[in-house]
Amino acid sequence: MNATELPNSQILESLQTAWGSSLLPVGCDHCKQVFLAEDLRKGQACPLCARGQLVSQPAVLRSEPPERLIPFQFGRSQVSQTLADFVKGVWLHPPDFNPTSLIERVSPVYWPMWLVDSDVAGAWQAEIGYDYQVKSSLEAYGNGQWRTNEVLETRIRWEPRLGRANRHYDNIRVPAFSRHQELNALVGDYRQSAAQAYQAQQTGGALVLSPDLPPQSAWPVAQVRLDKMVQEECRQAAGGQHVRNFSLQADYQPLHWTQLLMPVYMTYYRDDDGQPQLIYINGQTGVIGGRRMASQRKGWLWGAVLAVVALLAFGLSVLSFSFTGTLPFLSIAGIILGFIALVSGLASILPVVWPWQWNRKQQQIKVVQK
Amino acid sequence: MDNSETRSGAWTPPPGYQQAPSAVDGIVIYAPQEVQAPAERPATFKCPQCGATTHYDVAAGGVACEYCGYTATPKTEQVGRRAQEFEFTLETWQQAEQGWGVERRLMHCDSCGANLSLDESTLTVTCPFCASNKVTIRTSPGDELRPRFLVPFKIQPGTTRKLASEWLGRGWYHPAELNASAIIDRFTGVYLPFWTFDSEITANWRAQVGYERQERHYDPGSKQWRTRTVIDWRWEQGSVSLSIDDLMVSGSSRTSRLILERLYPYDLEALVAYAPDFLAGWNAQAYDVTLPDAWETGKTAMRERAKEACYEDIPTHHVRNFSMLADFSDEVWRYILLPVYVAAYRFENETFQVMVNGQTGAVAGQKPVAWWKIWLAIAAMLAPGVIIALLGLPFLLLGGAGAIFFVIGFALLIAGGVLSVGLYRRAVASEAA
Repeated sequence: MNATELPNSQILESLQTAWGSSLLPVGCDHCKQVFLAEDLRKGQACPLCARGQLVSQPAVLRSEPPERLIPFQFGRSQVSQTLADFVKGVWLHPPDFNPTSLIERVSPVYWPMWLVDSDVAGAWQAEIGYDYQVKSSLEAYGNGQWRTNEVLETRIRWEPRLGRANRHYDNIRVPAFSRHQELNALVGDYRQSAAQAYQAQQTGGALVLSPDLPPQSAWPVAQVRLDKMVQEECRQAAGGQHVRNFSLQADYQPLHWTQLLMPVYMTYYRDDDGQPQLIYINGQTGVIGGRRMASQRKGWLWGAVLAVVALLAFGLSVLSFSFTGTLPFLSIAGIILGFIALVSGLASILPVVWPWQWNRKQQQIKVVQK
Repeated sequence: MDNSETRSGAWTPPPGYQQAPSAVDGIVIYAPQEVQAPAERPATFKCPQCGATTHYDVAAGGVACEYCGYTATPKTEQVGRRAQEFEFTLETWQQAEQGWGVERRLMHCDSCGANLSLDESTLTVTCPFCASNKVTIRTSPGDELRPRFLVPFKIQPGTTRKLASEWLGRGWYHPAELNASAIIDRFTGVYLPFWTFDSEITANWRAQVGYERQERHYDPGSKQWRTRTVIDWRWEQGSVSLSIDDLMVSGSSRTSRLILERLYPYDLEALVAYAPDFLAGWNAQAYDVTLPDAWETGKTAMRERAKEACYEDIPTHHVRNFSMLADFSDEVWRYILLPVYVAAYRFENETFQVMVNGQTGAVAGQKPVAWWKIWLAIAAMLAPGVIIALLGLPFLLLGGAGAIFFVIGFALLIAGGVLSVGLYRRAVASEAA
């Protein structure tokens, strides 16, 4: 196999615009993530970490513009509704976790994937599985009689196959962003059919995330995906339904790398400890993802209030019972106050425990954190 | 795969592979070469040394010429129970349902040029014009449905008459002169078709199982406390797994299944891969009981075994409302030829069949019965019970000891009746074919 030639990138100076648009390279002074953004974005919070600010800086970029772009399918009003619904489900949410704050901080961002075109030429071998059906029997006996039920079972016959493949593949999608998997898990897939040819004006008003996985880093994944494509086509070519133990020795050239930009809205809120919690909305499907933290502080406060109520009710109840000798009707008040003390005492546990339990589940959600 | 070959573009497939059709442009496929089915041409057995007709000789264990002493061992291997088995694929099922048909076909004798008309179930023929032995494999609806394995003859033809004679002399309820007077025709060695079936069976049963319990109760008649046995019924269920290996079903409708079953068992460890040499000079038949019909017979036997196993799984013999579900899995089949000597003998103007297992020498067949001996034996078995019961009758009128005589007589009568029925059935089976 020939050494696969991978394209080089160039350094884009901080004052240069990219890809025929008005976008300039900026970077986060905290997470170091590079974006392309309009000049007015400078000084704003980084949408990816919410800890640093966007400042001018050079970027390492491919000179050719992206090939395809999936446009945002809805605007801020629908984002606002989505965020309101997202917040609504959380009891005792932190003060900053409210629709108004979230919508104020929303940034439309395009995030990238590599689109790889390549010829694949080489020798392959595999075991191809062919489905076939066998007749089996299920015999039932009852009331002195046998009843036969025929059962059809599908089995796989594995046969060795080998040969040569000489195929061309277009637009094999490969992650260009190191947190691709986490972001994809949060906002789900995109309908690729909606992708359009890239036009510079479409990125206006949005940030464009610069690939932090250059082709050199993304190539192993691209190769695996190309091999999978060949494997699948070899299966189809052999007329089988399954394939296993596939191996391929191939040349991959010429390789052509371009980008696909996908829309996502990013925003954040700060939790009890002042830590930013990021929220992402798929700009095409509206799927929202992120941690919905509850406020443990609010929980303690409500717990304390209910505990005080319980103590007061208990004290009054004891007092009422101590005067029942002279004022018998106070016994009824004592019972009621005792009951209130018991209920509020038990209820005081709930706001303390609930945020802790809820937040434990939320911590299991993987977020995109640089 | 070799990288250098890939680079140079001079890639060639490994030996034993041939190009296969591809459904995708740009992808070339190679698949292992298919093993060619045996040629349809009939094999003619002539001695390469003297030109005389040769045949398979049991003693020599190969094709032999009786004139010049030439022998050749068949080129085959003993596969035993490892002989390939086939699944019940839909394809096989459809092919098997077609059967062989009933047409006759012509075989051309390449020794003398005669055209011979063959029955569809005949695998071997001796040319009546030049006496050359021929073995053919008919056009099969599927390669799996050719005979692929057989158990060669081990018993020499010369010993069959002696074995049959000994067999005729056995048994007390046959005519005394049977061995001396029976005229046995020439035994014909024939390879008969058999199907073998394997299956795993998981049987789940459910039934009301009864457990005996002793109970004290007050008998108002005798005004006494007595003990009686009562049965407590309760629903139970269980599961039994069976593995059935090489259940045999005859593939020939022309031979008596009853007699064939008495020839079992065959040692299938002696199975060899089919070679026409084994059939040279011998008769052989192809199946006329199709695979689906044979499987139906085999399956019936298997499920009955599963039912018996379920009953054995039940801890008592009190069972009612029994139901079960037998789930068959890994069902496979195999088509084999087994050696049998077939003959008929005449006794008192009647013809009876006799067969000898060509591998073990076991003999089975129809045997006439001297019915007067049977009736006499039955009378002897019933007599003690009748006599003692009759003796008891007068005593019974006097009371006391008469009842004991009567009970003993009745018990002996029952026992004699059971033995008599058994003997009668054996006698009927002895004459049946």
